[in-house]
Amino acid sequence: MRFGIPALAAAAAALMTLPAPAAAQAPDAEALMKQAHLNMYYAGDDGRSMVEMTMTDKRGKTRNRTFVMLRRDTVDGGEQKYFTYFYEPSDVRRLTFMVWKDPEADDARWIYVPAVDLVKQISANDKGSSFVGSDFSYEDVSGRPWTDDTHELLREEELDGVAAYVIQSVPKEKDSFTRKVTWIGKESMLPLKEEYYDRKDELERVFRSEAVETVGGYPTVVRRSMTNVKKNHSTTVEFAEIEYDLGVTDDVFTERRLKNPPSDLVSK
Amino acid sequence: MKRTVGPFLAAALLAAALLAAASAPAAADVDLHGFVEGAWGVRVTEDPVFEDSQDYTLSETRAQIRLSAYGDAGEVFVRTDVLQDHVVDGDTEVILREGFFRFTTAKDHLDVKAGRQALTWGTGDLVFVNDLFPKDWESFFAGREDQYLKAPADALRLGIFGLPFDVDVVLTPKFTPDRLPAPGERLSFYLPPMTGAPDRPEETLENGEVALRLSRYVGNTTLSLYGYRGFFKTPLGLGPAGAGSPPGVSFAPYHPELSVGGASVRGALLGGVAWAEAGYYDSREDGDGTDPLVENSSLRYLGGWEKQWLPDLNVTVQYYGEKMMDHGEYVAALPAGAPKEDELRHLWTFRVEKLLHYQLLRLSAFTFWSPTDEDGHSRFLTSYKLSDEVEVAVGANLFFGEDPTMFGQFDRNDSVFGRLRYSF
Repeated sequence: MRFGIPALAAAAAALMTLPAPAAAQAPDAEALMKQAHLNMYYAGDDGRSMVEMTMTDKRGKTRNRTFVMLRRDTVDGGEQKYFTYFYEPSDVRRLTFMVWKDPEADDARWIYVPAVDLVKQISANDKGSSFVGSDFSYEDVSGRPWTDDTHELLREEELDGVAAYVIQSVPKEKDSFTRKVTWIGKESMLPLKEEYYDRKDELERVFRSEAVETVGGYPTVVRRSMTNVKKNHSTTVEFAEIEYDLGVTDDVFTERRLKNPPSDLVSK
Repeated sequence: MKRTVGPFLAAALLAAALLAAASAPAAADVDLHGFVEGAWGVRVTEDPVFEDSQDYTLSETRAQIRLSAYGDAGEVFVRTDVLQDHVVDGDTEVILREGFFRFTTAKDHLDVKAGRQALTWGTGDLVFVNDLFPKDWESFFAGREDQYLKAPADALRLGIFGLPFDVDVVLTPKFTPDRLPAPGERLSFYLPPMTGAPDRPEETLENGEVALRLSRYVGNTTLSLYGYRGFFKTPLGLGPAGAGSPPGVSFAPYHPELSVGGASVRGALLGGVAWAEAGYYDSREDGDGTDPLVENSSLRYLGGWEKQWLPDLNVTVQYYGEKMMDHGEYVAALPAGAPKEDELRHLWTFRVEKLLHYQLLRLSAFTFWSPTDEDGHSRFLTSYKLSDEVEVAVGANLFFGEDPTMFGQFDRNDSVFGRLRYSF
């Protein structure tokens, strides 16, 4: 979009009416959360990754999920589409799953069950429910919009030797957690750690970015984990074969592709 | 009425799949998976039909092998069940459930899937209006996994894309009816007096089935139009029994000609997902509804809504209705004393599903209830994943009502079942 001079003048006039910023003001917590959100969930115009998820219960027993995930951003920071093709475990192999994410409304989700050739649109009003039985919720996978919470910069400190902002976020509406504390790396501008507190204000879940690499020019969390400290259950997710800006088109995110997935996903 | 293929055909298909893989070794991936399952179902109601003979609705060992070979030319996929069914005869059968070749062509505008395949479309939850692909009601009622409700068909499926709407065409050269329980084998049900085994349409090209769907998204909502030309999937006509019928049998049920046109819509509503679907069933052999031996034309419609109430708790409510056309003509033509069908049939379904313990434990209840037929059917299932490989499931299938309604006729087949499956 191109703005002419009159638009610029109007913008300048609008800015003049705002109160002057205080000298050496601390960084805006909401702006930091927005930037971290965009870096974490909207890198590039699209992306693709092999995902290996390992869930460990309190007895140390593990379960695995392997799938490939494709993403395309319709609007940076806004609507996105996701396509998932499952490889493991065996009973969900060839199953596909599609999400049209809409931060302003309920997502639309579809699942395809190949054994019965069934495409089912599934109810998606609870973004806090578990993704494939892991410690991650749907919202953790595709990102909770920063606009759903109010943010406050608590302090700046080092986390494992990395300079970070520490921000507390409180949901604007009643949610599955009452507050979240996020450590955002100053250099990567990615969330490095998150603590979720439950209704009794007790620590319930801890997210960690365990490995960060630069892929295709984008700082990327290539290994992350979520631990439910109350249930002593954790999920580790490893991303491999990450690619960005592949030129993924919108027609991948359709019923046709649920039934007949792109061949480069199937022939793993 | 077993639909089996000889081991030879299964072996040939497996060989074809392997050959397809081997012919393009650099590009093809071969992938072998499946499961081994033991399943047992026990009748819990007294049934004079099976007084001394058969306490089991299910007693079987099944190995499923899924093999796929993927290359530049397309994909070959084979899903074969090796089944030892002790309720029937204890012999081992090889059942080809899927065996197809699929590829995309015409500048990415055409998807072709040819061979034996499961086919589903429409919006209903275990209730079907425009989905006239074959169902296996025997498996569904006897305690097998829900996926066995869908019987495969030997068909050619074409998907045409790039138009303002997607087009699906399914050609089934040989009419494939629903699989109904065999009399006196596993389940007992109402058999009209003096009738023999159902007649199938002759296996000619004109007697094949054609099904068509046009669909598109409008926002998050899916709109579809449907067409079908073939036969009623269950034998809803009565004709003279053929020569060689047993003594006393003067009539045989058969599959009357049928055409269906319909539409459906599905999308988000009130924090859940809602759907509606309707279809007009044109009974072509009984256009004016005056033939009491052939099912009348009807209008069939359904509407449903699913919502997640709490994390991992889903509730579905669904209504299905059938309105018989030309009911006055039907009543006028009915012989005195013959059982009379209502003009309207109402059916409600309710589903509650809860996932617990990191979705390892699944509790599910599904009920059909018809206030007009005064019958119903409830399905309860509890399954638990001991690991990624091992799953145990127990459940019950209960029936309510009296002869000869849809569910009432199965009233004496209440059963409990258990299944143990190892996936690889």
